[in-house]
Amino acid sequence: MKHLNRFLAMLMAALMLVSVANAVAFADDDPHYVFKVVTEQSPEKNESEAHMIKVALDAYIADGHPNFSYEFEICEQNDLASRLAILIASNDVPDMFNYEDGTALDAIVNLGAVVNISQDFSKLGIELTDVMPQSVIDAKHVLSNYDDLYSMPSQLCSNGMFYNKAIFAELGLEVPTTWAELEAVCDKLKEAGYTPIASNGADGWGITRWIMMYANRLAGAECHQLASRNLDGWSFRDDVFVQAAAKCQEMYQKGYMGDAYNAMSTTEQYSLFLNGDAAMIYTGSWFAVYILDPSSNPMGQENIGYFTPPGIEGSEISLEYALGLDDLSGGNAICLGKAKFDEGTNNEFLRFFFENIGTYQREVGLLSPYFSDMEEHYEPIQQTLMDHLENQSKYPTLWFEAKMDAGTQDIAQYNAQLLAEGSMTPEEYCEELAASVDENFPVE
Amino acid sequence: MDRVLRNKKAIAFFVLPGLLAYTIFVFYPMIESVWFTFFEGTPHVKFEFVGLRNYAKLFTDKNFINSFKVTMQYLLVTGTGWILLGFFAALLLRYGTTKRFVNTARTIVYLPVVIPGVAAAALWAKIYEISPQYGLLNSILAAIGLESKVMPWIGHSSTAMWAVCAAELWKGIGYYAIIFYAGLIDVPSELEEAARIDGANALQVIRHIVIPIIRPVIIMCIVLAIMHSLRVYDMPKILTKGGPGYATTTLSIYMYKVAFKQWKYGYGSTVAIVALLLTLVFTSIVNLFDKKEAN
Repeated sequence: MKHLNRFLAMLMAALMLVSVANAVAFADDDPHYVFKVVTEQSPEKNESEAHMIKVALDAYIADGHPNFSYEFEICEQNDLASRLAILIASNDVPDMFNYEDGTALDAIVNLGAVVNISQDFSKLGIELTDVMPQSVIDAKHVLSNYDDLYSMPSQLCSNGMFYNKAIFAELGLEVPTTWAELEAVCDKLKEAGYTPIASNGADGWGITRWIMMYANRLAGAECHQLASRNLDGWSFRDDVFVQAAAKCQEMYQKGYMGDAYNAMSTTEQYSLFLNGDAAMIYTGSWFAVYILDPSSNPMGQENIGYFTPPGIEGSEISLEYALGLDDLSGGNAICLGKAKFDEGTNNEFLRFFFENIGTYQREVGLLSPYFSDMEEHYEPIQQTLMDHLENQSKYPTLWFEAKMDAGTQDIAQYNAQLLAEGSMTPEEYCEELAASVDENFPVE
Repeated sequence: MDRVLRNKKAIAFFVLPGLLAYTIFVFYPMIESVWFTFFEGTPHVKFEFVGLRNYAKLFTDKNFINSFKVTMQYLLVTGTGWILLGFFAALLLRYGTTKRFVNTARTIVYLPVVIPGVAAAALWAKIYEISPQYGLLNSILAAIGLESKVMPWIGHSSTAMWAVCAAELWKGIGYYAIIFYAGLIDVPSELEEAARIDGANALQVIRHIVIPIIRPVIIMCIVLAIMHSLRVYDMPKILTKGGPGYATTTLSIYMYKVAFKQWKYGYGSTVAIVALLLTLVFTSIVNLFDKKEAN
C-alpha cells in the first residue's frame, strides 16, 4: 500500500511537470490569440460584408498561424450601438467591428475606442494608398465629420433604381427621364396589378431616401447635409424639405410602394422585387450579389436594368445634374478597436486582411474599393454599376441621416413611417426634424 | 430547530449570503442607476453632472410622454386582459372541463407561455403578414368576403398597438390562468355545495364564495400583471421595432433607445427610474385597495 501511494504521488508529480512544461512551451512558441469581430451580418452568407472578414481569417490561419482563431458576434443593426456601448464600457472593445459611417460613428470616436486610421494605419507597415485608390480615401473623408479617418470602407456603393425589364416590356414602359414620368410609370404599373416600387419602410431609411432624393433634385446634393447641422442658413423647415416630404407622402399614399411598406424588412423588399411582384426597387449596388445568385433571383440578371431616379422638370437643378446625383457610401464602416490595435498582437493579420480583401470581394461579385492583383472581370449587371460609378456619379452626396445626430436620426426614420402612412403632415415632419437639429446645433 | 431559529447569529449566517448577492446584483445597480440620472453622457468616458435637468426634460420630451401613454395603454389592455381572460380560462378549466380532458386543456392553455418571446413574435408577424402573401388573419378576412378590412396590421400606427396587445394577450393568458387555477382547486367544494343548496347560481357562487377565498391569488396576479405590462419589451421590439412612428414604443424600448442608441445613459436611467416608480405606485395602490377591502 505504501509503495502504491508513493508510486501514485510520483506519477501525479510527473504528470504535473509535463503539463507545466507543455504550457510553458506553448506560451513561448506562438501565443494563442482570439480575434473578435462584432458585425450585423452573418459571416456564413457569401453576400455579407462579414463573410470577407471570415474568408481572410481562414486564409490567414491556414497560412501558418494555427494559434490564431476568431469569434464573430452577430448583432441586429439596431442593436450594434448598444452592444458596442456595453463592450466599450467594460473595456472589451473587439478587434474589428462593422458600423455605420457618418455621425453615428462619431459617438464611438468620441469615446476614444477606435483607431485613427489617418494617423495609425502606417503602423501596419503599409500606407493607405497601398491598399485603395486616393479617390476612395477622399470619399471616406466626405463621410467623416473629422479631419482624420476613423474607419475603412467595406464596399464601393452606388444607389439607384433596379427595374424588371420583362415587366417594363410587357406594359410598354420606358425608363423615366423626369420625375413626372417616374410617377406615370408607377401609375401604369399599379393599374396592371404590380407593386411599382418595393420599399423597406420597416427600416425607416427606405422612406427617408425619397425625401432626400426629391430635395436634392430641387436644391442640390448638399442641402440635407447642411440642414442636418443648421449650416449655411439651411434648415429642415425650408420649403424645399416640406415639398420633398409632401411628394414622398403623396407617392406612398398613392400606393406606389404597395400596402406593406411599414412592416417590410430589407429581405422581404428584395424578395418582392426578385420574385417579380414589384417592378422597381431603390437600393444600393450590393444588391448585385443577390441578383447574381440564382437561388435568390429566378429571373436572371439579364432581366434587370438600372437607372438613376430622374430630375424634376422646372426645377433649378437641371435634369442632367440630377442624373449625376448619387448617395454614395462605403458600405458599413470597418472599424478597428484601439486597445487591441495598440497592443500590436493583431497587426500582422490586419495587414494581411487589407492587402487581400480586394481579391476576396471580387471573387464573390462585390464591387471592391480595395486594390487586387486579380484580373478585373465583371458580370453585365456589375459592369453597368461600375460604368455608372465611373461615368455618371458626378455629384456624390450622402444618405439622408448621415450628418444627423443619433436623436435626430431616430426622429427622421420613425416619423417617416407616420409621414408615409399619412398620419403626420409634411410640415409637422419637417418641424420635428428641425427642432431636434436646433437642440443639438443651435442657430447662433 | 427552534433553538436555531432563536439564534440571531445563526439567522444572520443563513441570510447573509443571499442578502449579499441581492445587494450586489439588485440594490447596487439600482442605486447606481439613480446616481446616473444626475449625469449626462457615457459612464467612465464623458459623464457630466447635470443636476435635475434629466428629470425636468421628461416633462418636455414629446417622445417620452408618448411612450408613457403607450405603456399606460399597454397596461390597461394587456394587464386587464391577462387578469380577466386568465380568470375566465381558469374557471373553464375548473368547472367547464371534464376530469378526463383537464390535463390536455391545461397544457393547451399554458402552451403559449413556454414558447420563447422571440419565436412567439415571429409567429404573430406571420399571422399579420400582408405581403408578399396574406398571413392567417388577412387570409381569413379575404376568405369571408371582408377584403376591404385586409390591411398591414403591424404596419399602420392606428392598429399596430392593438395587434401587439393581442399577441401579448395570447402569450400571457395561460400564465395567469394556471395561477388562478391553482387557487381555484383549493376552494373547498363543501362551501360551493352549501351555497348551491341555499339557491345561489353559478355567478353568485363565483362572486360570493370563490373570489373572496382566492383573493390573495387575485392580488398577486394583479401585481404580477402590472409588473409585466410596465416592463414589456420583446414583443413590440420584434414585431414592430416600436413603430410605426412611436406607436408601440413603450418606456422600456424608449429607455433602451435613449441609453444605447443615443448614448445618453443619464437620461436613459431617468426613464428607467420612472418605470420603476410607476411599478411601485401601481402596486402600492393595489395593496392599499386590498387592505381597505379586507378591513
